[in-house]
Amino acid sequence: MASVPSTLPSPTRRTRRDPFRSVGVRRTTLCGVAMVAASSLVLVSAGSAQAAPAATAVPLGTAEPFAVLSGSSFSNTGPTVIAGDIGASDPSMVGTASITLTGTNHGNDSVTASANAALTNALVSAAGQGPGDTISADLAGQTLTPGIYTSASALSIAGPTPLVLDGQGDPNAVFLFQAGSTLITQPGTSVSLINGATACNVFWQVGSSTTLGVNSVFRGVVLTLTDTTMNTGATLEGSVLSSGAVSLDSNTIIRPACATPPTTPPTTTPPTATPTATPTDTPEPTATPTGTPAAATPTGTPDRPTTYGQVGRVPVGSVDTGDGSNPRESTSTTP
Amino acid sequence: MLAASVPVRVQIPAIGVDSELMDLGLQADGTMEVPAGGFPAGWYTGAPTPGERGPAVLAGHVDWGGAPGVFAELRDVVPGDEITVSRADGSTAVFAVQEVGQYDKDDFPTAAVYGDIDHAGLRVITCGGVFDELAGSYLDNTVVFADLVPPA
Repeated sequence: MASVPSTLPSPTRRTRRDPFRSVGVRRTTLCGVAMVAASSLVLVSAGSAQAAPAATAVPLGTAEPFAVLSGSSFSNTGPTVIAGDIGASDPSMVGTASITLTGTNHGNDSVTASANAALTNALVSAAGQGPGDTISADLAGQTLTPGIYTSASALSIAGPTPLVLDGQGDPNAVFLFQAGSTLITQPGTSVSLINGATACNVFWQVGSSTTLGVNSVFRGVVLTLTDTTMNTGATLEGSVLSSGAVSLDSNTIIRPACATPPTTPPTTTPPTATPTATPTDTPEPTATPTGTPAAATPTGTPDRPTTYGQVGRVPVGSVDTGDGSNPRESTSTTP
Repeated sequence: MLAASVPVRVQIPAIGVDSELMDLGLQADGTMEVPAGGFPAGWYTGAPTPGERGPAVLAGHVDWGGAPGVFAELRDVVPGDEITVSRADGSTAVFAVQEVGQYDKDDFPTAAVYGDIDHAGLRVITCGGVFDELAGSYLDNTVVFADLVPPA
C-alpha cells in the first residue's frame, strides 16, 4: 500500500536544495507541493492501493566509480565540479581544464573501456526489469514510493514543483525509472529525496537521450543509451553514464559514496582534502599576530571518500571575501 | 544536534565579532555569493543550518572599502575559541574551534569544507594571505573549522 509521506520537505531543506530561489518563489513552491500531495492522495485511494513493482539495484560493475562516463565524446564548458571518476572512449575530452575534479580522469584507458562495457550490461539489465507502474510523462509535483516506473515514450520534469521520492524509511529502497525514449528536465526543476531515499538507489534508464535543464537539480544514476546533455548550472547528485556523448556546462556532479550503506557517515572531523597553504613571499609583520595560520591539512581519514549529501549544491572553488583595501599583510617590501 | 533553524547572529568573543547574518546563495558561475559590504557576515543557504548535522558555512569579508571587514581578525582565532550562533527559533548553537587554516584559493579545500560529517560542524570563511593587486583578489582563504559543543 502506497504510503503518505509523513513529512514534506521542511523550509530549510527546500532552502538547502534551491539556493537560487528567492523567498517568494520558495513560499509558492511549498504551497504547490502541499496541494499536489493532496491530489496524489486522491489518485492513490481511487486507484490501485498497491505499491509499484519492486525494483532491484542495477548492477553497475566497473562503471560504479564513475561520476561521468561516455561511450563516445566528452565536452565541458565553464566551471564544473565533479566528485567521482570520469572517462570517455573518445580521447579528445574537451574542457577538462575548467573541471574541479575530486577523482580520476581515466580518459580512454582500459578502465573506461571496461566501464563502458559494464554500462551496456547495466542498460540491458535496467530495461529488463519490470514492467513497472505506468507513469505520466511529467513527473513534476509527484510523490513516488520505491519501485519501478515505466513510460513507453518520454519522461520529463516540466514544472517547478519537485518530484519527491519517498524511501518510506527503508535505506535499501530502490527506485527505477524506465523511459522508452527521452528524459528531459526543464530549467529550475528538481528532485527531492525523503525518508531515507538515497541517490545511490535511484536509477534512470533512458532509451534515447537525456537533457537536464538549466539550474535544475537531479538525483540518481542516469543510464542513457544515446547522448546526455547537462545544461548550464544543472546539478546532479549521482552520475551520468552515457553510451553516447556527454556535454557539460558549469555543472556540479557529485557521485555519492555508494559502496558502504548510505547511512554510514565518516566518523571523524573534516574529511580529507589536500589544501596547500601558500607560503607568503613577503616578510611577516614585525608584530607577530597570535594564531599564525596553520599550514596543515585539515585532519580527516585519508582513505574514506568524501560524500556531499548534506550540502545540496556545493559551491565552486574559493570565496571572494575581501577587496584588499585594508590588508594586514603588506604586498610589497617597501617600508 | 539541533533541528533546522535559520541562523540570525554570530559571535566570536575571542576576536570581538558580533554580527547579524544575511543569506548567501550561489552566483551564476556556481561560486558562493558574498555580502555586498564589509558587514554583516552571511550564511550559505545551500548548507545545513548551524546546529544541524553536517557542515554549516559562514562567510564574510576580511576588509572592504578601506576598513576592516567583519572577519578582519578571523585568522587570529585559535583552537578552543567559541563561536556562538543564535538561531531564529531562539536557540543557540555553540561551536568550539578545532582548526584554523589558510589555503591557496587554487587549492580550496572543497571536500573538507562542504563534505559530509557525522556531527554538527561549522566552517567560517574569509580571505587571507597576500592581496594580489593584479588579480584584484586575495590569494588565500582563511577557514575556521569548528564542532558543535553539546549542551551541558
